[in-house]
Amino acid sequence: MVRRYIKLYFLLAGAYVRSRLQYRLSFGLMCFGIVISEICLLGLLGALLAKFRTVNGWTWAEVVFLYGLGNLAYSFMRILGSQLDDFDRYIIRGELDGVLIKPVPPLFYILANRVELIHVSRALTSVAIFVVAFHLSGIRWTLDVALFTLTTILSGTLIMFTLMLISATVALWTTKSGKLTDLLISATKEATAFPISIYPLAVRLLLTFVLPVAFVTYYPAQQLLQKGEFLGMPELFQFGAPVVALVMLCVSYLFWCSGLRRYHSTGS
Amino acid sequence: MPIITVEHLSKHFKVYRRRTGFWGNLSSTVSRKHDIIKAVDDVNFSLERGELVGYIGANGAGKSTTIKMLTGILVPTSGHIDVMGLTPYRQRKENTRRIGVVFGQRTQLWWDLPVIDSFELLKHIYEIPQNLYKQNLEFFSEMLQLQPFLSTPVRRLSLGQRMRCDLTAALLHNPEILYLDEPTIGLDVVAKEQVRQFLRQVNAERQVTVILTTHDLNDVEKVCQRLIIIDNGKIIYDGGIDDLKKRYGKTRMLIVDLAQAYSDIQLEGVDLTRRDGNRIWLAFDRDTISASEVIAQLTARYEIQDLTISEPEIEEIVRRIYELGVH
Repeated sequence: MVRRYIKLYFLLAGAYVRSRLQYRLSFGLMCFGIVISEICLLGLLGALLAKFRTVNGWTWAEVVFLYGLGNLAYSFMRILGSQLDDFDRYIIRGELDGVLIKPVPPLFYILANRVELIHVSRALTSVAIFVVAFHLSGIRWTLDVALFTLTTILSGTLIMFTLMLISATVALWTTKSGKLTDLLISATKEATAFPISIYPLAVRLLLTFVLPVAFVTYYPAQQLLQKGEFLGMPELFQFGAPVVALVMLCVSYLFWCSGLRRYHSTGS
Repeated sequence: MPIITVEHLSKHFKVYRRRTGFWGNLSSTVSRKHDIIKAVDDVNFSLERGELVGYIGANGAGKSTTIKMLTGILVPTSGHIDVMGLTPYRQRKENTRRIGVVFGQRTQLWWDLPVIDSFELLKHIYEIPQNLYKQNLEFFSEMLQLQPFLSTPVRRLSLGQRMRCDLTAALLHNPEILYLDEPTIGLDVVAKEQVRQFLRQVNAERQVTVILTTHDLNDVEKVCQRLIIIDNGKIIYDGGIDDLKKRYGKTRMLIVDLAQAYSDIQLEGVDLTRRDGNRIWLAFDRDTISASEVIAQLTARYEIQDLTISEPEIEEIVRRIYELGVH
């Protein structure tokens, strides 16, 4: 059963990649564009920090560390969940009906149908940035650190993914949700790049409890960088990312199911 | 035992009324009033295995809504559906394994990939055993002459070729029921004929039960044995196609452009059904009066610029049934 779905996932994703490679030039240009934009953003970050030296007590290396960590989670989320970018197309064009007549779970089918490899270029850039930042921050590689880092990246990817899923699901009520998803994607990406201590309390609470992107970079970084900056939140939050990811996974999936039930009773 | 049983099936949609203007908009977000649209209203029918049924009606009559409930996409508001012992919306996955669906307007194939790749993917999605897959692919490629374009990307196929591929895609997993939503829409005469012949053959040789919705009465005449007509969500006719034609389909329509707008038009054996400036629509029964007789009468009394004869369209037959009632 599980093997069947893994195989099917790779077959469907492979079909998408092959379709995409029919337009090689556009594929190549988009990869190139992503890498360039990443480098520009990093340059901007460097320029800003060269002027201000530190951000709320965070050094350049530490901020780049946050940026690299957030960007890694972001790029994995974009590779695996890019179909959620414009999920509303499924409803506007009636493509969801085509999904519902297949003997596979709809969400699985939708996700597998588009695995966007252009974001691999972003992931590779992020890995490079992250490795350099890791080194600059003076963190020593141990097995514990490696495992914690991997769990953090995985949890971060999941947290970002579930936020995307929730905003895409809104389309099952409103028909359109593309703009909301775009907004949420860029907002979460920005929010993970800087220590949340730069924001007022209300925004910090929002980023912790409502759109929990602070668990993608900020709280886990407390552990990795040994910052000990908790802003009055429990210290346990530095280990909270996997729990938050699981809770968000359940919440977003239940939301998706109720959206689908609504679609079943109203159609498009 | 019937393969599909539908009892007192209804589907109602809430349509929210929007008021215009700023205050109207504001108040409709606070208290939304809605109308209930009865897309499908107390529909009953049952199909035996191997039947070939045309499900027709005007736009918005409730055809697609019924098909969507039968395929498990929509949950009925009330009523009962039994498809091969399953309730489609509750046992969606089991149901989809045993049915095939073709949407005429939307292809289920992978747009940028060669046709054969779509078939291969469907093999895995439906878990079709390799030998059955090979056997079916051979059978359909030969029947529909797919061989020349099996390795062509779907986006480069003509509409007719694509429909043939979509039909194959829907049948590879040996479904017991095939639902077709307007399979001949946009096709030329030759391609339409191919699709019709294919459907008859699949039905005869593989005992696939076929339900098709269409706007083209020719599809129904050439393919179906039985016809269900739905209008405003209610079934207004369910029976043999010959019976229907005998009763309602004898009417031909003569559309005439007169040289001037005659105030009073008098013709024998002919009904003046519509009039728009100099153009008039005349309905006549071909058993009682021939087209040439009608034209002779016309030319004798009026000056004519142009005329065309049209076969009865589904909309026209539905309208007549609706007006006259079913006897």
